[in-house]
Amino acid sequence: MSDAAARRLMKELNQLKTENPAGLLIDNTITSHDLKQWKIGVVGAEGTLYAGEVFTLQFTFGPQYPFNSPEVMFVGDTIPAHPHIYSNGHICLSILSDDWTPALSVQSVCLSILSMLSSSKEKKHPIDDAIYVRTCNKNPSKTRWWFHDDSV
Amino acid sequence: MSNEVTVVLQDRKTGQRRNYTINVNNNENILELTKSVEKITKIPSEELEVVFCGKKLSKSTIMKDLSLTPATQIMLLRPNSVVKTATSSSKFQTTDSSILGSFYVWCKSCDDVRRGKLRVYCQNCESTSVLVKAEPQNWMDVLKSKRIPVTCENCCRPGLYAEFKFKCLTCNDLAAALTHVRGNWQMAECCICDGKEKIIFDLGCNHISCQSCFKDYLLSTLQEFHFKNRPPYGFTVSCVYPECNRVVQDVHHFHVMGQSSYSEYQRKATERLIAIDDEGVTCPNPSCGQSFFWEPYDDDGRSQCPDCFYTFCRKCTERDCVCQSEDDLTRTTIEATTRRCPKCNVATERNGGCAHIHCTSCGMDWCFKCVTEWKEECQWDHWFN
Repeated sequence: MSDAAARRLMKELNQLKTENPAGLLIDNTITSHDLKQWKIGVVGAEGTLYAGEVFTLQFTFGPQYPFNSPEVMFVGDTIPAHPHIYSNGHICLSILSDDWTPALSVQSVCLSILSMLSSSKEKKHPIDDAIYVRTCNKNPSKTRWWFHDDSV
Repeated sequence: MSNEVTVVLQDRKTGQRRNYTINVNNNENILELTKSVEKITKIPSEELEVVFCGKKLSKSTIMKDLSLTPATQIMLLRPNSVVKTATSSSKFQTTDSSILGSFYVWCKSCDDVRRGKLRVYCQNCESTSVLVKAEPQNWMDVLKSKRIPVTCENCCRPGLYAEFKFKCLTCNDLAAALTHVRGNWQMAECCICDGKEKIIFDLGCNHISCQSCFKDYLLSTLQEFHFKNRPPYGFTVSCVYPECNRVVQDVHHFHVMGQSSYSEYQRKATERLIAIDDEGVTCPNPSCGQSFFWEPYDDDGRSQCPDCFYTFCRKCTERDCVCQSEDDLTRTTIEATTRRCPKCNVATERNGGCAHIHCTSCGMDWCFKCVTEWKEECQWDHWFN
C-alpha cells in the first residue's frame, strides 16, 4: 500500500470512528497496521424490508486507492436478497466501478449501499444470479456491470 | 539587482520616435525610470507617461513587479499637450502591480505548471506600444481574438484589437494558459488527499484538488481510457467530485500527466474520435495504427494510409478484400452478436446483466432492447429480457 493510500485511509478511519454514522458498525479490529481490508457492519433502516438485519461489507483497498475503486462485497452468512446484490455477495452499483471518483470514500459507499437496500421493493437476487455466480471473477471489480441505476 | 531595459520614446510634440537602453534597479519605481530618461533626453519626467502591457503605469509601480526580461520593451509617451488635464489622465486607468494577476501556465520548456504573465501586443504590427481601451473581464477576453480594442502608438491604425500572449514567469518562453489552475488563497483542502497545497485545480465548481492528486486522477482515467467525449472540448474528464458535471475545458491541463502519458492520451483520443466518425478510419497495418479521415469523393471502399501507404478495404480491413467471400466470419459474428450505440454507433456486445447499457465510448445511457436512449419505461419493463 502506498503512503498516500495509507494516509488517506487513516483519515477515513478516524473520521468514521468519531462521527459514528447511523446504520454503520465500525469494526474495532481495523488498525493502522493493516489497513488493506476492512469489515463494516450495515444495519437495515427502520421501515424498510431489511429493518434490523445486520450485514457485513468487506472493503479491500489496492495500492492505487483512492484513484482506483475499492473492491466492495457482502461477506458472511447473510447476504441481503436484493435485485442488485448477487448471492455470492457481489454488488452491482455504478460508484463501485465506472462512476467511482477519488472524492468518494468508505463512508459514502456504505451510505449508498444502505440507501440502495432501503429503496428495494422486493427481497430477491438478480434474475441472472445463478449464471453470474457460476461464471464471475472472484473480484467484483473485474466484472463489467451493466446496471447503472441507484434508484432500486 | 540592476537590469538593462529598452524603452521606446514616442514624442508626440516633435513627432519623433527613439529607442534608449536604460539601466534600472529592480527596486526602483516608474518615477525613477522617467527621471533616468529625463537625464538622457532632457524631457521633463512629469511629461512622460509609461505604458506597459496595454496600460498606463502609475509612477509608484516597482520595476520588479513587471517581470521584465532583456527582450521586454517599455513605451514612454510624451503627449502633445503639455498641460496634463484630468481628462487625459482618466482616459486610461493607471495601474500598478495588480496587472500581473495571479494565473498559471503550462510551460513546455520547464515541463511543469508555472506562474504566468500576460503580455499585450498590437494584432496588426505586433508592437507592444498599445493601450487597451477596455479591461479584460474574463478568460475569454484574453483567450479569444478581437475582444479587447486597443490604440497602437506604433502603427496608429484605427479599429485595432489586442493580441494577448502568455509567458512563463520562470523562463520567459511562450506558454499555454491553464484556466483551471489557481492559487489556493483560502488554503482549502484537496478533496482527495485533504492536503493544503499552494497551487490547486478547480474546474470552476470550487471542488479543488492538488496537482499531485489531479495528476494521479488523470493517470487512473487514462489506464482504461475513461475520458468522455464532450464536444466542443473533445475527450475530457469531469470534476473528481461525485455527480459534479464540470469538465476540463482545455487539454493543456492533461500535460501534468507527463509527456509519454500525454502522447498516449492523444493517440487513444484520436482512435476513439475516428471510431465514432463515419469518415474516420484507423490503419490496420499492425506496425502503423495511424488514424485518418478518408475522402468520400470518388470512393471505391478502399483507402490508403497517408502514413505507411498500406492500402486496404475499409470494411474487412484486409489488403485483399474478403468482404465478398462467404467465410467472412468476423463480420457476420459482429453483426449477429452486437447492437450499435444509438449515439456513437459503436458495436456493443452484451454478455450478461441488465438491458441498461452505459456506452464506454461516448457515455450515452441506452436500452439494449429498444436501442434508444434509456427511459423510465425501460427502467421498469426492460430491466431483464
